[in-house]
Amino acid sequence: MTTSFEEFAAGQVTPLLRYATALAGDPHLAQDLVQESLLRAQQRWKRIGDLAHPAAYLKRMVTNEFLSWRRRFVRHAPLAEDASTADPTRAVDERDAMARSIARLTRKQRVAIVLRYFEDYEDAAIAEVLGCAEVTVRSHISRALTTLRAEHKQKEAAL
Amino acid sequence: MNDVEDLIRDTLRHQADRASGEGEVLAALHRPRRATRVPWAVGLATVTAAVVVVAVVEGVRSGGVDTAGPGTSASAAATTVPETPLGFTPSFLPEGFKEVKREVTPTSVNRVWRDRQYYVVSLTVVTVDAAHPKPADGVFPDVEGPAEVFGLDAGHYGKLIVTGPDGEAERVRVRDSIHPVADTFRFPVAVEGAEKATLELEDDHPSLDVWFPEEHAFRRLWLGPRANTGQWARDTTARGGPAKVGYPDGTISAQVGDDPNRQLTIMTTRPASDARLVELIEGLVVDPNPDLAWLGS
Repeated sequence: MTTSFEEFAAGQVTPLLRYATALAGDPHLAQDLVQESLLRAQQRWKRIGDLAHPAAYLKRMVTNEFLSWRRRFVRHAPLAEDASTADPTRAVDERDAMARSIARLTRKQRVAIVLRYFEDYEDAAIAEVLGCAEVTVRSHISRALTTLRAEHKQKEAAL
Repeated sequence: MNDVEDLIRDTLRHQADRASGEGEVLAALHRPRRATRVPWAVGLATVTAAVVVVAVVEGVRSGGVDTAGPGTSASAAATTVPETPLGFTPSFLPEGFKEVKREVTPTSVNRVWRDRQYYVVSLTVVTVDAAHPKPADGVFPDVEGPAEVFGLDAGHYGKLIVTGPDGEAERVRVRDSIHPVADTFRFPVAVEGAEKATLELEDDHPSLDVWFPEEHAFRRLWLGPRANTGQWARDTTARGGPAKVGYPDGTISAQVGDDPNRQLTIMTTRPASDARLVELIEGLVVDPNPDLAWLGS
């Protein structure tokens, strides 16, 4: 039986926002991505609601929205000159450094990393979300890991 | 599994824990939809010239394609791929940066350079009009990093992102080197009616993504080495060779010419028959001599 769009949206908004925040690294951007995707899904709910896995389809829409995102300067305040804060523990420092490294990856590499390490997707499932071959997914992840490992090593050495 | 992979998982989980705004998102679903963005059909006022290319397939026809779709635009445009002006360019880039991406919307041109460590220089030149007024100068958060907004001339402003160990100082040097140019470039597929087109290096291959407004017959097309129409894909024939159609998006992929690294894929916004998908993909005009010399240089 097809769930109503309202029920679906209420049930999926939190996991979608968590996924989008892991992807974008910014809760405000994530909110825009999820909102835009749900608005598109609402217009086509008759078809999407009949799919076997509408939640997976929505995740793909959020991913496409992230890949096609261009800034609209209406929602967010300017950054302070120095937005960084001193972190009291090494674990937090490490996470912040890793978050900055992930943010520098290309958007497609970032999607591949988030789907692998946050959503635990296999190569085939990531390929389907990204609309690419599995070999390309492996390449995205391999290159991203090489970059992230190198930067982590560099920061470890500096500590 | 190793420490770095554990750290990645931990970092992403903590990022996800910062998610918020459930109530605002759900409330927005009950508000009237905002206006659709202006498609290129209007925005192409910025285009200065057009070049004629020969269609790759004989299937490009003047009729027989749904008049609502971009397939028709491509057919009716009689095989022309328009040139897009760059507007402004920097004369200084930090060492080791190569251009890997160009993205065009009706009102902006974005160029991205990266180095081997994936640090980024991203310049967006935005055309100011009544619907897109220039925002205040300043530094704003963006997906790739802090973005500086500044005026270029009376009709344009720039948005510049420079990341790296010395990103802030280099951003000033790049910004100060930006000057007007008459250079143009063109995409490898005619994309009239698109709300955004992106050409970038992906896995060392050029890859084109184009997004269309919802009212068009298809939302997205891409041209590149990848062809994935999903696990339920069926075989068909299009553009004179084997092709695949998939579900649930209404997706079709076909090879362009003899090059297996040129896979043209369309994802539709509405359910479409196999025949309609074939008609759409055969209606696209593909440049046989794409202008790609800038990519990776």
